[in-house]
Amino acid sequence: MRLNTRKVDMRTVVEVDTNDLDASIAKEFKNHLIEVFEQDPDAAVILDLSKVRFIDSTCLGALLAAFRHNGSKKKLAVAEPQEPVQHVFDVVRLSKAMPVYETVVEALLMTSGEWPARS
Amino acid sequence: MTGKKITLCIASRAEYVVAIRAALRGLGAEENIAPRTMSQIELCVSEAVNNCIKHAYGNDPDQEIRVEWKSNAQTIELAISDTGRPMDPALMEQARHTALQIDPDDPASLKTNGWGLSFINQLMDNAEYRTAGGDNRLLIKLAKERSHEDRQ
Repeated sequence: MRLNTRKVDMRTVVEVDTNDLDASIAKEFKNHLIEVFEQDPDAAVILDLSKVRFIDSTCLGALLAAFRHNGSKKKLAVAEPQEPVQHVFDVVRLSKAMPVYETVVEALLMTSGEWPARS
Repeated sequence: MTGKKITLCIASRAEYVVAIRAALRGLGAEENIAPRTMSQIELCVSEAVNNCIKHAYGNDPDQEIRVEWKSNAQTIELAISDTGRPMDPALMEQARHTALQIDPDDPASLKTNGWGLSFINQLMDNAEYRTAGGDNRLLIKLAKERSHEDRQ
């Protein structure tokens, strides 16, 4: 799996370049995310999931583990989940922990000022 | 149950679970099953197979996992089976009563594992675990036509 990163103002947009976020890559996913977070600890991160059509509990756990890595202080938002992925996020109410946006553009707009409060 | 019956079989390797999902999608498309229902099936079967790999076989990559699909006009039944270490049946019961939601004020709810059985219990109409004669079997069942809006 690959994470493609780009800077937009003070934020890092991380595109997850895989269709299936599953147990075969959960550890790699977590380690890559932590690496990105540590490269620029002060930057907010928008995780672009537009290419991901499936996520299981191991990668959901990996996402939460990476988020918790720094005491859940990282400014992390999730953007553009496809319907099956959004459904998993809805079931666990991920938006209680981090903002979830329909598109990357919306995420960039909504995080351009003060970091949004959790829903 | 009369109707279609198909058995899929993989070695106990996480990288093969994607093939099970692809096969399930094919079956679902052929039977015109709603995309939301299919994504729930894909998730729950993946979770069950992950459990076989990790817990029943302790990540031994050369064991066998079977996924059996049975369907008729009303119902889909799936059986995920292994011949490894049986699961403690109390875990199924526990998962039925475990909240599957993140509470940002409760760090324990941001758990990094242990979601699988809870997903299965919450998203499927029925889930049962049976073990007999060295064969461990998780049976999940759901109606083909469901009010998806009523379910999360």
